[in-house]
Amino acid sequence: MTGTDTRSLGRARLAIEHLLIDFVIENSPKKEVVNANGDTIIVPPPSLGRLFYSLGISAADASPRTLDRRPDRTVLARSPTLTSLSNRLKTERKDLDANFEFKTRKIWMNVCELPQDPKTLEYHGRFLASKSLRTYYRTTLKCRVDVIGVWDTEEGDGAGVDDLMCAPYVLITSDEKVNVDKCVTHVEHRIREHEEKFGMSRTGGRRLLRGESASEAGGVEMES
Amino acid sequence: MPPANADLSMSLVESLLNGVNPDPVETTTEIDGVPNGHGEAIDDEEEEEMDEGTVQVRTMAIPRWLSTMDVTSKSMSCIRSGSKNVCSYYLFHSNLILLISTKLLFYTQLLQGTLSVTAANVALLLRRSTYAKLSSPVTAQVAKTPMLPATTFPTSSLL
Repeated sequence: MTGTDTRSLGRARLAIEHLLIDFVIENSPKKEVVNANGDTIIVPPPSLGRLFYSLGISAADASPRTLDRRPDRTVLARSPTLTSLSNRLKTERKDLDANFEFKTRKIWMNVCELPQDPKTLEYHGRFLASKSLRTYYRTTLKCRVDVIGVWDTEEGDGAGVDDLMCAPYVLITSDEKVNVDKCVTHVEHRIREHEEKFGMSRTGGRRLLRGESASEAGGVEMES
Repeated sequence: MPPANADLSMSLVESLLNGVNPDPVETTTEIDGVPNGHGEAIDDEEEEEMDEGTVQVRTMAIPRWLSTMDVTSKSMSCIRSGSKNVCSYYLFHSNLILLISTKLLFYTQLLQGTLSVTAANVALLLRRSTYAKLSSPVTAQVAKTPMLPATTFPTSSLL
């Protein structure tokens, strides 16, 4: 076997990743917003963040270099705000070209599950998206935090629950891994407070934080 | 009805996903840790050069919320379109794709149907998973594996 053959594995993985990305884009409602410059921009499908995180975890798991194999760890993954689409989709849907930045920039990323009301089955996440918290995420933790799937379709930042193919989630991204890890800890504590206040829980239970045992966390590690 | 070897193959796959090789073998490539201690995806260009005669096996998990019939069908068409290359893809349990790159000769056998793709064959490859060396005797052993109908391993029966 040559190195070229080995690289074909990487190309195969990317080909399948593009298929999955295409699938999510093609099966999500197309949504546009007007930005500050007055330009109309297509909003990336809200499920893409979770997909990119899953693909990042899967790709890292496939690498023999990977030491940390926790299923909810922070990984380097494609940025959902700079969507990279396959050549086929770019050819077929030229309308997307003008609106998406077809780049493959990677970014550190983690995903947190949101608590669910046991009676109404409604997911809660707006408590993580107040203006003051958003400022804190951006200025102190230097992270971008997107709460996906807890808004009605016509409100919020385009992440309507009706547009989702997966469960609502919190997407935490930054250029630095340490920032994401700090932000995950902060968000996890806020979610725990909310759970205790309203008697809610999450699928898979609470996330284990660094130096914390399962009994201390009061739950088990969740599936990413 | 699930195939009889489903338990075996699933345990192997789960072991692989958990980073545990069920049947460790001598590897020919030194595995270095990433300096910061955190693994990342390896880009195409970063894949190491391998010795001749190795079989590469990689797994790729599809999120369960996305493992629908539509997606798996597309993946299967991807498998067929990818068969011209020296890399093949197999679908495992609807949400796990197995990527295998083999020596051209071995792969040609697969394409010509002289060696059927059975769970036993793939299990053998899994045991000699990523970066394990596949020597000539093992190749012969794979080739002698009793042929089963191709439908016994990831085809529509598992979808």
